[in-house]
Amino acid sequence: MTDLATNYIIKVLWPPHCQNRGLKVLEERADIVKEMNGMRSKIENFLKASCSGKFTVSDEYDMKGFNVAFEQGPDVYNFILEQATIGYEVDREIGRYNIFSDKYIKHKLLYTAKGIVIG
Amino acid sequence: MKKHNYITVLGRNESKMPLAQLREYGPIISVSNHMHDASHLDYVWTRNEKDLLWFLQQQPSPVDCVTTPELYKKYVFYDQVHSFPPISPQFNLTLDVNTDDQTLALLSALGLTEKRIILVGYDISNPKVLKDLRSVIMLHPEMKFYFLCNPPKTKQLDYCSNAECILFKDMEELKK
Repeated sequence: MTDLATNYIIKVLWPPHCQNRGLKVLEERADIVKEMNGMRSKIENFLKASCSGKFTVSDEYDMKGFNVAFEQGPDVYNFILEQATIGYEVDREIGRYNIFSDKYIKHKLLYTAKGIVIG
Repeated sequence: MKKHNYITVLGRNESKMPLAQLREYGPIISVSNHMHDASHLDYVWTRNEKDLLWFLQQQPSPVDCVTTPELYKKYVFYDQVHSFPPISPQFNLTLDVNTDDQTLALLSALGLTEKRIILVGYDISNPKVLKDLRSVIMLHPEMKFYFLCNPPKTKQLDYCSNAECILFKDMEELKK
């Protein structure tokens, strides 16, 4: 078993009008910052209610979105499935910890009729 | 993940030593034909979906499985399923669908340890398996390989300076 708490990393995208905003713009647009913080809180609350394993919501600034790290695969799977219900969009890329290389390897997410797989 | 000092690769043949005892030397990675001993295995290399699911359903804890890229893509959300380690281009070692499971278990073991590999029940009767084993040993001069067997000792690995044939009765020496 891996002794790492986070085996999966996925990026949750900001709402379209919040993406690609530089720090200077954000300093002037408190309304956008409020919306971004609100979204982060909403996701964190949802994760608290739905995850059975550990998770971490990154507070590092990123123009595209913010990273969420998960310990357990079923939690990630559920999180991806619930996008439309809760109202968020995840990036089409997932980082999975590789026990051999000790690194996160990125994979493309594919939505198929039989479920979510990687490309 | 912290790499292990020792790891045992359990090949296709039966182990002459009970697996519980063998486990005292470190974690065990096996090919998938030792299902009856699943509780003693730490990792399994398998390319068969049915076997993969069987190992994942073991109680109280599933066995960590290393599998092919195709199966990994499908089972990526299972915490115990791992992809085959990236292999750098290596001379004299051709990996394809015909590569023996023992060779692939050995290559997986190389990614999990930093010092020594013990080979138990490793069937080298197939010339390709033996050739691949020699190639792996020679490509990893920093690693020490111990081939465990009953008398007589095999001479097949004699010219590999980092490999040694050890009898089961002398295995205690490895604990030193």
